[in-house]
Order: sequence, then C-alpha cells, then structure tokens
Amino acid sequence: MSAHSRPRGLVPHLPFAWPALMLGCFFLVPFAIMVVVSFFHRPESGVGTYEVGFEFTHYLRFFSPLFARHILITIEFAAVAALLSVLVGFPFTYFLSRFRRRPQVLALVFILCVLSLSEVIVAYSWSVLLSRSAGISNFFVWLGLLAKPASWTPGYGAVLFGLTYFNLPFAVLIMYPQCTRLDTEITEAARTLGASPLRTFFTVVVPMLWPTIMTAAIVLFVFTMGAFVTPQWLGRPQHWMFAILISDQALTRGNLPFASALSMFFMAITLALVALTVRLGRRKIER
Amino acid sequence: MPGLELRSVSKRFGPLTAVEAVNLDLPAGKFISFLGPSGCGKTTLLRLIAGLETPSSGQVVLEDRDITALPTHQRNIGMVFQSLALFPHLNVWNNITYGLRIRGMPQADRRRRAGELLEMVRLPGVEERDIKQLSGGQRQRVAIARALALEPTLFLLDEPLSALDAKLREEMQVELRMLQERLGITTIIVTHDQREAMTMSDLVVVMSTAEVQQVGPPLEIYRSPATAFVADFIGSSNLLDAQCVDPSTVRIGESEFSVPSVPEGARSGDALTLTIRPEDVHVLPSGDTASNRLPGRVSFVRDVGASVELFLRCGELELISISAPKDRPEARPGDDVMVELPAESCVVVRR
Amino acid sequence: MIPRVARNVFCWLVVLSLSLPLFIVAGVSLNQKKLMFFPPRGLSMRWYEEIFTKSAWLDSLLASLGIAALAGVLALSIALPAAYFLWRYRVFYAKLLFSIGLMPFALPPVITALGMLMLWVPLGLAASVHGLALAHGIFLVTLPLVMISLGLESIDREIVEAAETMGASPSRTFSTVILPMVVPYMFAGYAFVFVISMNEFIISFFIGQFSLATLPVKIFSQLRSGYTPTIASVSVLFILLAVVVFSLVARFGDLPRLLGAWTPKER
Ligand SMILES: Nc1ncnc2c1ncn2[C@@H]1O[C@H](COP(=O)(O)OP(=O)(O)OP(=O)(O)O)[C@@H](O)[C@H]1O
Ligand SMILES: [Mg+2]
Repeated sequence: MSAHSRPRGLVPHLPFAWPALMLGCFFLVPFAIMVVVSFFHRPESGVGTYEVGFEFTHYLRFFSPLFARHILITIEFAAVAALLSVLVGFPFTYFLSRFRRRPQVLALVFILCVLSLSEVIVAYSWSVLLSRSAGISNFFVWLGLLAKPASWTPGYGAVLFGLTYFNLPFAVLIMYPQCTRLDTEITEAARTLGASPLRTFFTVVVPMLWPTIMTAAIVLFVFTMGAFVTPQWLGRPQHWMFAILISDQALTRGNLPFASALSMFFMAITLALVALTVRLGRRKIER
Repeated sequence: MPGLELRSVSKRFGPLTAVEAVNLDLPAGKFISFLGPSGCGKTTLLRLIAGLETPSSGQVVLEDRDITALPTHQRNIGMVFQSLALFPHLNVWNNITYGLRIRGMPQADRRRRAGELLEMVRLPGVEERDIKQLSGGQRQRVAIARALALEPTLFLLDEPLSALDAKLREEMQVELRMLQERLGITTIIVTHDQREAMTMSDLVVVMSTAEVQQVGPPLEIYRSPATAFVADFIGSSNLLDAQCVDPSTVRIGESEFSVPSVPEGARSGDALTLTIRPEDVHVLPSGDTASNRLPGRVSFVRDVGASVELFLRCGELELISISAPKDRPEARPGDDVMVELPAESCVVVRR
Repeated sequence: MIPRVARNVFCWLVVLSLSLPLFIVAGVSLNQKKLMFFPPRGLSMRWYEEIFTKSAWLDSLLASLGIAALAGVLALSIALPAAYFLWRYRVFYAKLLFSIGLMPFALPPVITALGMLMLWVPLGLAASVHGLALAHGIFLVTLPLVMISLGLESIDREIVEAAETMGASPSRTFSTVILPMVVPYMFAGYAFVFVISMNEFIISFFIGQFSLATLPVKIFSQLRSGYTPTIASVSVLFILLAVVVFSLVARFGDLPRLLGAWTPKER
C-alpha cells in the first residue's frame, strides 16, 4: 500500500459516502438554512415562522447599544476565562504528563469525570458553593477569615469562576498529547546548562509548547463564547452572554430570522477574533 | 589532581537495581569510557554523576566536594545527550549560548562566544541556522559546542556517536579526543562500542549488569581482563574452562598448560577460566607436539579480507584463531592441525 | 527538593478546587429536608429514590440514556469510515470531510443548535429521542473522529503492507488488521460521546422544544421553577456514571495512549 495512493472507482469511495452524506445533510444544510433565513422576512404575528424574502433588517438591528454591550461582555468573559484556564491548565498538564503511570491514569480519569459534567451541573454546583447557606463562605467563617457567611452569586466573579472551571478539563485534554511528547532529555539538557527548574520551565517548556498553548486558548475561547447556562445562573442580566440572546430570540420570541442573523454575526465575530489571535500568536513565535 | 569519585553509589528503580554499590575514582583531566552491554546501567551511572538521578545510597564527590545533594543546574557540567536534546525553538547560536544567557552574559558577547565555540568544533558560519537545517553530524557538533560553552568541570556524553554512520563516527571520535586533549577537561563517554572505548580513552570502566567489573587503561583491560565477563566482552576471546594445578600451570581437559600466573589465592583444583585472544592462538601443521599445544581439527574458515578466522575444534573445546592474511596457515576445513596457546598470551581469571 | 514540593502542592490545589463543587453537591444531596444546606442537616437517601420513583425524573433519565446510546453508535458510524478514508487516501476531499467533522467543536455550540433546530422542525425530528440522538451523534462526531485518527496514526504502515503481501485484500486487511488495532480507540470514543451526550445541554434544550427534556434540561427547568435536592442527587448520579465509564476505559485500555500520549522513546 502506498501511503498516498488515490482511491479509484466506486468501491474505495464507499467509506467516504456515509459520513459525507450525514455531515452534509445534518451539519452543512442547517448552516445553509441559517444563512438563508437570516435574510428572510418575519411577519408581525407569526411566532416561529418566516416568509421568503431578502432584507437586511435583522442585520441592521445589531447597531444598538444593547447588542454592543452584550457582545463586549461575551468577548470579555470568553477571553478572560480562556486565559485563566490556560494559565492554570498548562502547568498542571505539563506536570501531569511527567507523573508516573499510575497517578497519571488516576488524574486523567478524574479530569475526564470533571470534563463530562454538564454545564448545568457545573453552574449549579458553583451556585451552591458560592451561596450563603451551603457555600464556601461558611468555611471561611469557620476559619475566622470572614465575619459572617456571604453570598457571592450572582456576580461577575461567580460567572468567571464557573466558566474557568468548566474550561479547565478541556484545557488539560487539549494540551496533554503535546505535553507528553516533550522529551525529558530536553529539559534535562537545560538543567545541565545551569537553568533552575523554574528557568527551564519558562525558557524551554513554555516556548517549545507555545503553539499548543495558543491552540488551547483559541479553542477554549470559542467554546466559552457559546456559554449559556453559566452566565444565566451565576450572573446578573448585564452578564448575559450572546448565546442567551440567540436562544431568547429563537425559542422565547420565536424570531428565527433575527436569531439566525445574530448567529451569523456571532460566528463572524468569533472567527475574526480567532484569526486575529492566530496572527498575534504566530508573531510571538517568530520573535 | 582530585577528580571525580563515586563512593558506593547505588540506584534502585523500585525492585530493579540499576547500579549496585559502585566505587570509582576517576582522575581529573582524563578521557574515560563507560563500556558495557545494553541495559547494564551506564546511562544511569552517568545521570547519577550529572545529578539527573539521585542515588539511593552512596556519595558523588567532585574535586573533593560532596555534590550528592547538589541539583544539576549548580554542578557546572556539560552533557551531550543521546538524542542530543537541542532546543528546537532556538537557532544554533542561541542553543549554544543558552547557558550563558542564564548567567546573564550580554547578547553581543554571547554572539561572539558562539562564533568561537563553533570554530572550535569546526563548524563555523552556521550561527543563524535553525536546528532543522543541520545534518546529523552538524547537530552533533552543535550539541558538543553547547555542552562546552560554560567551560564545565565535567564533560559527559551518552552514546553521542551512535546515530552517525561508520565513517563520520570515526572522524568524530578523533575530533572529540583531540578536543579533549586541547581543553584538558575530564570527559566521560558512555558507549557499548568497545572499539570506540579502546581507541579513544585513557581509562575504560567495564560494566556488567549494575556493577563495575574492571577499571583500567584500554591495553591493560585488553591484555589482562580481571574477569571472564571482561575477557568475553572486550573483543572476542576464547574462554576455556580450566583447573588450577599450581601457580604457573592449569589443566584443560587432559593436557596441562603453563601460564604466566593464576589469580591470587587460587589453589590446586580450583575452577578457573583461561582466556586467550584469537590473534594469539597459533595454528601449526599437525604433528609438531610440544608444551602448550593441543591437537585439533579445522571446522570452518572465514576470510574477512583484513584477517582470516579459523574455527577449531580440539576434542570438547572450540577455539577461534585469527591471523593476518600474510601469516595465513595452510589449512582447509577438515584438516588436522596443532593448536598452540603461547604461555605468555594466556590470562587466567576466576570463573 | 523545593521545586518538587511546589509542583505537588500546585497539582493538589488544582485537583482540590476541581473537586470542591462535587463534594458540596454530594453533601447537599443528602439533606433530609427540601433545603439546601452544607454540611447536610439530617441524612437521607430520599432524593436518590425520587429519581427512580417520580416519573418526570425517570422519563428524563431513560430519554437521556437512550439518546446517549444511539448517539454513540451514530457518531462511530460516521467517524470510523471518515477517519479510515483520510488515513488510507490523503486526498483533499478526505481532508475536507475531516475538517467538517471538526467544525462542531470549532464554533460556539449555540450556533449549531439553532441551525439544527431549523432543519429538525420541518423534518419532524424535533422533540423526539431519535431526533436528539441524531443531533448529538452529529454534534459529538468530533470526539471519536479525533480519537480514531490518533489510533490509525499509531499503526505502522508496514504492518498493513505485510498483510497485503500475504494476500489480504483491502477489506480483509481492514477487518483483520486495522479494525482490531483501532477498537480500543472506538471504545474510548464511544464512551466519550455517551458521557458527553448525557451531559450536553444547549442542543438538547433547542431540539427538545420544551417537550422532551433530557436530564440536564430537566435540572435546568427545575431550577428555574424552584429548588429541589433531587437536582443534587441527579448530579451525583451523573458524576458516578462518569467515574464508572472512565474507570472502565482506564482499566481495560491504555488511557494515556487513547488520549494521545506518546513518548518519543516508546517507538
Ligand atoms: N527511570 C527508570 N525507571 C525504571 N527503570 C529504569 C529507569 N532508568 C533505567 N532503568 C533500568 O535500569 C537499567 C539500566 O538502564 P540504563 O539506561 O542505565 O542502561 P544502559 O547501560 O544505558 O543501556 P543502553 O546501552 O541500552 O543505553 C535498565 O534495566 C533499565 O530498564
Ligand atoms: Mg543508555
């Protein structure tokens, strides 16, 4: 078998057909519908309906302070949460990849369990943890750090904590493969050249794994952009992120064209920011 | 001058003992090889010296200073790793001067120093290149330059040449040796290539599983191996089961052989091993009986160009004789011959 | 050595803060009264019983399990051929297909959810178990796709060539050599889809249309209408499920390897 032979005839293409059909019909078609519907007309009375048409009305509605505020807070939360989770997640993942086998497997099982937790459960458990009656503030009172139990939710910090927590296991799993691939001899070489463990970490490990760190940050950023449950529960209305607006338009108000237009806009913003980050990240490497 | 001393150093990995109670006294300024079969603990021993592993017990002493607990980055050693471990994110000159940057040397000085070091390893003009743009041999030189940049007290190399082709390897051996002589730096190289160890070093440390078998200059190790293991491992040797008769005679099967000496304390009847190098085994025409000779038969002849190998069978014993083509005995497979083991070439060791 | 101590302290702190909410939820779920207290006041298992006795919770649980099981099968059926095709022939449309398979994880999920909603409703797939299974199977296809590709990449092509020199046709080679080698990755991929589908919220929320509620959606709407400790007990159930599934994966497979670990010296 040559590695790069071309499939000839119908039979070799059979494994291609089914995935292409499924992804085409049920992933690409929905996008096409969304693009088209975002230009459709919405009748005054119809909930969840639309009429064929071509208008920019929905796109023009973005230019209001309300949407600007929400898109900004969305970007802010996504960026800060992605940054925080990479900041904590990277050293953790790197150390994890240097663990001996048994502790490493145990830690991975633990991370997978946390990762699989529903956003609903994460938001819920943080709301408990930050609540007055059952929360961590009771523990601080017991320690004598706090005079009386406090409620820290809803609030900006609570949203940020929740999002970071939700991201952290993803950060670990994204960076894990490349971390394991860093040859120990590389860091040992730095040690023999007189670099302390901390110096080695910052002058060898971080620069070598910089692309991985960037990838994780970008993926998490995109991920967090779509956060829905966390800001709704742990935040006040001014902390609501964009996904809530889209869902509100689509499900509660039944304005599908506008929800589609919001999604297109949202997607464009996300992609633009990702492209920007990739550019900046690359420049950092070249330096 | 005091050099490097290992005092009863052991290293265990769980149930496995990689290095067992090793005592070594290595003089400063010498070129030393750790030689032994795969898995015997050479790398572990080197890493113990570098501080990349902590001994389970024992001490490492460098220039009369106990450095057992000193972390690697404070030991001032230069090391060339088996994988070379060059930093892929840095170009050549930044790789070489990584250690100098850690010490805060200004960029311009570092740049100049990189040039000197590259000159020293005979690879000038590649300062700005990426590691990926270098050939295997060039990377080798960069790794050596990087290890020497800090003028270390100890220069450690773990099978640095094993990835190179035969010709380049020989070149690098010569160069490394010349470099070491010029700098006078204590150098330890790990290898399982005995030819490499023999031709390069002042001192060879032969290891078998977890233990040091013998330490000595190459010729001494070659001429008088301390144990059967060393005799077998260093070059191919004929190892013959023998019994002690008196301090200058051993018995092999029915015949008695005079030998220069037997191991100290060996008494009559003790089981010993007589070792003799294939090139010291002489093959004579059949019938020339004399002392230290055995009748035998040629079972196979292998002509390898530079030498001729005769495989001999003398009753129960099997021997190999090697001779230069010009001294080639007139022998064909199946011929009866007389095999001589000259007394002065026999080395008797404990079994 | 001080750095090692610092490193261990850091790792333990991370693990501890990650498990903190879990402990609290577990504690809260044991409260006797319908109140949220930690530490719990009076121990009781009634909130666990309620999951299995109250039909609203049980229906959600069964729907979630069914959806997760089906979604796993569907995701594998898409991911395996797609990954194989790309590995076997590196043609551009195979790469394109692979990238499309990665897209669900490269976009904010709410967008996928909205797009699907607009197709599922006219097709009559919304608010049904098979409709949601289809949505999850497509949305989560990225996970087995990436894992199976990792598995395929770890196969030495010479092994395949060896099978071919012994007269195995491509389909024979696939079933006798390649498939057995990627089975652990498929298994792990299935486990991932299953567990994440069980926990997925936004797609379930959109496609469920308020009439079919998976467990996370049920928890969500319950929390809106008023707190009940069953929420906590369901959460604990979910955590246990994940622990069991991933422990099994770790027990019978090489977990670091399945997650893409690879040390240079191993090969
Ligand atoms: N970190 C480790 N953990 C467990 N066992 C180890 C470790 N490092 C080495 N060993 C074991 O210690 C023994 C000696 O290994 P070492 O690498 O020192 O051998 P070596 O002589 O360098 O072999 P080679 O010539 O193949 O490189 C081996 O049995 C090896 O498996
Ligand atoms: Mg070794």
